[in-house]
Amino acid sequence: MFQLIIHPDQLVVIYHRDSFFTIIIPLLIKIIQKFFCFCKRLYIIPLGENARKRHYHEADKGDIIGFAVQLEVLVNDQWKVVIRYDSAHGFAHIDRYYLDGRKVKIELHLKLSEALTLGDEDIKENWKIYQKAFLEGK
Amino acid sequence: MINILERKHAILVTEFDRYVVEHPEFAVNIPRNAQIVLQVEGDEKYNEWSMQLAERQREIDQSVVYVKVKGLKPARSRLLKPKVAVA
Repeated sequence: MFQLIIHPDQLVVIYHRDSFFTIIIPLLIKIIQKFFCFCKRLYIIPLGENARKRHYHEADKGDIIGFAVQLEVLVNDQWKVVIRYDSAHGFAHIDRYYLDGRKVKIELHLKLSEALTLGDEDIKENWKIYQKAFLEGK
Repeated sequence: MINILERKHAILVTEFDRYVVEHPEFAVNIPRNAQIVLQVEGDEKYNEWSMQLAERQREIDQSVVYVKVKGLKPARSRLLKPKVAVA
């Protein structure tokens, strides 16, 4: 009657259109997603000219268990990371990148959810300043 | 001078991020690495600006997801149980 396919980050169910599953299955999917939460999200949003934000987070029942939010700017037809708020290596931190290839790590003594909020807010407020500084090699 | 469209866009982007975190089921069909294009109901100037910006940045074969919103609720404080202590 229907086929269940589980991907790492989403649940897909293929079913026949003319059955009562047409109504039941989408409801079941919503319930399963709510309680077991297949929640890995990765998307890109343009911020402005030659600047974009890449957002990744992983959640378990509403709690953030991993994230990476980074500002990328276009330099010579290549997207370069300028600043990244990240939870890799088990703790929240900032990786600041420079045009000459240097990278500076700053530890954040924050909960992952707080660090994610901080990253989103900081990039929202300051992306132009970061972009300018990066392009000037500062 | 402040670019109003850019400013509005920055706020919408942040609100979109929050919404996705708070409503995991909302973004279940967004493909990985998709480009999100925000659109606001009735704001043609912003919508055109947002669409053109996205088109300029779109990569070959990148999925595009249009997210249309009705608008923004008034901003609210997020402080948890603040207390006042007068010295």
